[in-house]
Amino acid sequence: MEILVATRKGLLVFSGIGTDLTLTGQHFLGDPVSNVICDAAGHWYVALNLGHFGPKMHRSEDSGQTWTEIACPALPEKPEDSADKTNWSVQQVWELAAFNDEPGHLLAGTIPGAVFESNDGGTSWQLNEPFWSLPQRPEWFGGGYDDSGVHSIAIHPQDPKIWTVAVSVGGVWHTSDGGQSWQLHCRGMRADYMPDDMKGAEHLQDPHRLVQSPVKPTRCWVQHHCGIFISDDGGRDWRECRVNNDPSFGFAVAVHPHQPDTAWFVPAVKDESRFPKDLEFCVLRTRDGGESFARLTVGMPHEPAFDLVYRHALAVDSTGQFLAMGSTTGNLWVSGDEGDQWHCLSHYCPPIYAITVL
Amino acid sequence: MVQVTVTENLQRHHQVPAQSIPDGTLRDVLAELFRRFPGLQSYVFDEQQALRPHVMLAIDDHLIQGDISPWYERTDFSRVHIMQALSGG
Repeated sequence: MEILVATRKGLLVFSGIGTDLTLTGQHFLGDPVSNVICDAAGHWYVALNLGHFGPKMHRSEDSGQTWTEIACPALPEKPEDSADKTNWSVQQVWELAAFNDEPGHLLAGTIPGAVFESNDGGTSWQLNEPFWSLPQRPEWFGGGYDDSGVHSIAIHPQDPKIWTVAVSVGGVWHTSDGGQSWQLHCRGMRADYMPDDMKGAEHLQDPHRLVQSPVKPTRCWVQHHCGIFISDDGGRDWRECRVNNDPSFGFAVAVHPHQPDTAWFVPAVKDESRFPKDLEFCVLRTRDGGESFARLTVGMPHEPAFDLVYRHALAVDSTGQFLAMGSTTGNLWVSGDEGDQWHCLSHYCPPIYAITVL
Repeated sequence: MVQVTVTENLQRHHQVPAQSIPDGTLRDVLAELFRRFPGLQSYVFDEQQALRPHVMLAIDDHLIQGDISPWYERTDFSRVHIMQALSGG
């Protein structure tokens, strides 16, 4: 077992057997790593968010022994007569998604909210112009960042031209022709932060993270700013899942790779507060499609905890048994039994942004 | 000749020893620097060719941040140092 952990101070690699993992690699020490993925060829990609020098990307074809700087998604020259108030400069590569069985074929989501595609392992990136030109984009706004951003891209497991993209704050967008045309569908979501008559506006929804079931792609889950939502039509119509006794606010969600009704969430007190309710850190798991949630606490801190788990920092392996989770406080946990018990690998990591389980 | 140097912090990512670049406008000097070190430009400028918000140029004894367009066509300098705008404690 090997996990790649993107942190505020570099990429950390933990390796071992089962849940007995130790730190075996460290890369880009001191540099913020906003995300990390592995493509169909087994190549690793990291997105750096260098404070002074902008976003950058690197690829390793030998499991981190050597790295090559590759192109970073970049926006075109802004037309002088553009009324767009957005600065056409990529601030962060927030999301990375790899196509199944297509080595080097990647999608990237960025702040500001744009989608990029690479067919050559990140040697070059092409802006998805139809998405960037969406008439609704000027109305999107940032949630936690100055600009809106694309943080979730789900590629349909059977049809690689169907992508589902979630934007904070800009709703859920769908394409079935590989990004040539886009449709906004997220009916049923609710934006409590908007005036009453705008709470249902689809382009003003703030899905914090969207995931899609690999075995039943019509099933999607969203951890939204205002609750947990589930879809059974590929992310077009949504219904809210009621959570009792815990906040329904949070960022992360992971779906079981073989059981579409099983998903995990990490609750926090909204909005800007963002700490565990009563300082009791826990994970929520549903096994019945959101009808009920179990509170998973075995192995969690006994003392008051302030941990927050970001969007990309809760990951599940291909069996559904193994989970890995990292927090802004620098705690890193794994579970070998679907979250029943958690083991802390380290209390001393930097703030954790993203985890990939290999 | 214009003496061009790059902050040590940036050299963690791109090794750029001190350069002597023929006199010219600031635009010419920077273009020659980026020709000599492909890939360096995106660390200093964004895709709109704007100086990155947290990067500064020390042009002789002038500290330039933000809009550098008034300097682009000037030739009355002999030193350019590319540095980060320091912040934090």
